Amino acid sequence: MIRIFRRKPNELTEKEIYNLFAEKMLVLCFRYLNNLMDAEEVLHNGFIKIFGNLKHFEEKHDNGFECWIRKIMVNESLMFLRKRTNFKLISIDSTHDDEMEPIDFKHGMETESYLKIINGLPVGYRTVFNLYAIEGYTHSEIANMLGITESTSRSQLTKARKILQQKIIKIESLYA
Amino acid sequence: MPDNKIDHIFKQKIEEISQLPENLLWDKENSWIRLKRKRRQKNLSKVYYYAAAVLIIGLLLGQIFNFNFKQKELKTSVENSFTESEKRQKLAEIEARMSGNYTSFKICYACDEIYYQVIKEDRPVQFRYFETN
Repeated sequence: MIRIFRRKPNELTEKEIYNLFAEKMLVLCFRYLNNLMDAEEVLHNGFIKIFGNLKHFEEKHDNGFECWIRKIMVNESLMFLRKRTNFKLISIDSTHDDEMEPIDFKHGMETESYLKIINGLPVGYRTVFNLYAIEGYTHSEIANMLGITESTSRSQLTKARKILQQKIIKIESLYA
Repeated sequence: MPDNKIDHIFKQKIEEISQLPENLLWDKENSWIRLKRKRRQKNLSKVYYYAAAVLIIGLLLGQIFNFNFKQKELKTSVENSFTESEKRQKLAEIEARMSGNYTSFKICYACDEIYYQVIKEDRPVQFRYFETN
């Protein structure tokens, strides 16, 4: 594995790249789409794009290859979401906490539980939260990516944070 | 809880996740096979698209060249026929002069034939023509 990492991305075989990043990227796609089949489809589209453009990739900094792959996967996920969801039409108050799927926390807050909480968010909140908090995009970038205004992006994030906070408090009180 | 803290907690925890939750079944190897199949299909459809594009361009170019060729051919034939008509006109003129009874010539460009009026006993009686080949 270490030997693989030492090699330049262009020197890696497609299978090696796939083995290294497939599952991690599937989790990323799953975080956006909340459906394994859709996530796998997006993952495949992303890898086809990656393999097609591998010879053009130039590593400018450490971890650059993974960032590049991540960016492609995020863009593919957003493309997939845009086909199904009109982000402009998502109203801030259109969903309530009650509409979210119940999450079973048998063993308290495990790492996986955080993924479940995020996936329980409505699509608009989830997408904005993922892009802002996890990927580190700015509101103007998110607005461009989703075709919404910056204020919509901000309000979606605020609402998402509120729901997440409520969930955490609820779970913490259960296991206090 | 401050907003930044929520973001930080989730970012930290999410970055730790490198595997799918246990309840989600996913076969990496089968997925690789499906990926290869999908890629092959995409490449194949690309080939079809290129082939169709080349065919359409070829047909269009063929039509344009064919049209140009036909135009050129028509022009050449008209030019040739004019030259031929002129030649025939001259021949007819000479022939009529020799017989001494012509009044006028008419050339039909559509059928490429030459008519001329023949006068017999001071009145026109008929039109004659020379057939082109």
